[in-house]
Amino acid sequence: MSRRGIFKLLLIVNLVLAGGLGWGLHNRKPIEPANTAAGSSQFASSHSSSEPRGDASQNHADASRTPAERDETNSTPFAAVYSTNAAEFANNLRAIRCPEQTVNDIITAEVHRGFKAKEEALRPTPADHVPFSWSARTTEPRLLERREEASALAREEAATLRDSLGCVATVPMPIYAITSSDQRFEEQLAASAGEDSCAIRQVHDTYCADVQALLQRTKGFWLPDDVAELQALKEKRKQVLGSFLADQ
Amino acid sequence: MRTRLKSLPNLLLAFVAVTLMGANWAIRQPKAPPSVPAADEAAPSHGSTPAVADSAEAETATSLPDVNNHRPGPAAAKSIHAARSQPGQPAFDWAAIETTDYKEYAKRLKAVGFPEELVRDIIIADVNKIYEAREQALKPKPVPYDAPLSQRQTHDISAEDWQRITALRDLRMEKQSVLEAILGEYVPREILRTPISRNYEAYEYAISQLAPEKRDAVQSAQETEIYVEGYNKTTIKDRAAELESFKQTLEQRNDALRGVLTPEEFDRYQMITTPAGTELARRVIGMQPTDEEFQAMFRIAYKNWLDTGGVYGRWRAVPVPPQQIAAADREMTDNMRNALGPERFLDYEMAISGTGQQMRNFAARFDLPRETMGQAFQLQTQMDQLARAGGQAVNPDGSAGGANPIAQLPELQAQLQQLLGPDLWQNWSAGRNLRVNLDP
Repeated sequence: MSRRGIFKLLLIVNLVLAGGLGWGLHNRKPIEPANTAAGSSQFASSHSSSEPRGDASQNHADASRTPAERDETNSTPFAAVYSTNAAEFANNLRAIRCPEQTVNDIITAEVHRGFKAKEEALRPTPADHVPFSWSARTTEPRLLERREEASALAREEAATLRDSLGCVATVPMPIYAITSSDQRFEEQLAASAGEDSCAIRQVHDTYCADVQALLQRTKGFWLPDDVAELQALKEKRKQVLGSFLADQ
Repeated sequence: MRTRLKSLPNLLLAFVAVTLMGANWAIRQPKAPPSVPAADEAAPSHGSTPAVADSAEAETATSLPDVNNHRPGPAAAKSIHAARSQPGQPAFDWAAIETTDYKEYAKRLKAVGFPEELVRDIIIADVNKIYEAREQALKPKPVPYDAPLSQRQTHDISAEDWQRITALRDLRMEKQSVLEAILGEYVPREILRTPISRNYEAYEYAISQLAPEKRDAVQSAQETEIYVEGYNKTTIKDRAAELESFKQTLEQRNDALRGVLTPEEFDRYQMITTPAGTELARRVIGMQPTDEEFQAMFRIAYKNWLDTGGVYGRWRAVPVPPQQIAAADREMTDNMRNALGPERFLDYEMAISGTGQQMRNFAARFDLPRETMGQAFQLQTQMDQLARAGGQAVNPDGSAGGANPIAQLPELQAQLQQLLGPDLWQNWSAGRNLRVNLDP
């Protein structure tokens, strides 16, 4: 081959290689942490709620970290096991031989971290206490809203935990948000604990979420049709729970 | 020479081609995940051998985390090593993190990138678990806000109960100091509670508003007051003597608080925790008062509290003639009106009355303009006052007198009906007295 021919061939090869390099650099992905779930559901679970929970949980988790913390976290061994999906994160921890009890602690703490900002906003204030001899019933929407939101948040956090840690996971409610009915339910559940406990809790949580939706729709001013709808929700819950709990 | 010069472009191109090939290969290589630093790099050893804890249960049952902050560890102290990442292998091995020394554990978690806040939460959860069984044995069952009155408060507190209350407080203080030693920062502690109804949430809230270095001293003074006041209340049978002891206990607490807090902080602490303030906060939450408004309202409400026989946190502890109470209440209303101005006074009135709360809910549901809502509230309030007064005539301000009540009622109702229109009037009539129970 003549020098001219070799020159042309080398020129073409160089152009192809330069193009390949440019394309490669352009499409180069940032280093992903190993084992991080792609397209994961971000600490999400399938239970019903008034808020799209998966996104909310992720936002909580992201928001709770400073930008510096996020950058730092991205380049550490922690990043190699961390996942925004709690179940995936738990599995990654198990893969590095983290003891099960510690896995539970870490997942509980991480899930809790994601809910912290909202919990902080619903922390009991002097106004939330019902003074002795005052009626526990109130039509004040702001007191009712806080109480309902606090218990809904605790249920949401517990459901997120149960998705990755199983049915035993619970999250304590602030005292001002606990009702006698909640307490009775927990006692019944503890007494009949077994393989149905997850299903029983799901039925109860669904009722609470439906009631909260009704409360948001009525904005605290109820009409007879709303009362009938509430009654139907109670009946439905009772009927479904009847197959699990004897005294329903 | 000439031949060499002619070959130079080809040589240069060949060199560039080899370089480009190398660059292409390099950028397509997979990267290994970051690896954990060796334990001695990650956390310099303090030269302490991790304490050998035979089992978590054994340590929980027999001892607390000691000053060295030992956590329940694996069956035997593990050799700490780093598992350098190899392609296809886990990023690190948990054995490199595990240690029975809490401070070291926290350090190692941070060294491998666990966020600070998560490390804190993990340590707190871990230590809580160690104390859980002993705390549970001392903790009373929480009483829901809607429990019967007999459960919400009892004065039947035995000597053993008082001992249990003290033991729980001591245990929590111990846990707090263990956590603070590990984390090197303030860690909040639950306030001491007795079976006597008090706004314990308000104390916790007020303490959380203070600078961390003042919180323990304030909490300690507050808990002493809660304990002594409760104990005296259940043991001193003479009412006057008990009231006197209550005053003394509170003054002692105030002296202790004044030693820690600035005058402004003390006043704010008082406003947030004293029943005159906490009950006002609950009553007016619907109007969402600003800090400035609340402070002004508190001054007025506290004067009323004292004028009507209140002694510090005790409502009407000293008997006062009904006329004096009525006069004090009128004065409070006037002062509130003057302090808030007409617009905010309307919000105040609506916040503190059931009719006002319902009207606000109604307005929110049916998008009622504020002006209409305010007028409807005033008409409905007059009708309610008329109904309550029975045969007596009522003026718009609630005082006796004015036109014939029998004639007033349908007239006011017609005005309200006209103001709302037929559909809204029907909804208001159908829903205003409906009360629902959300419990299943």
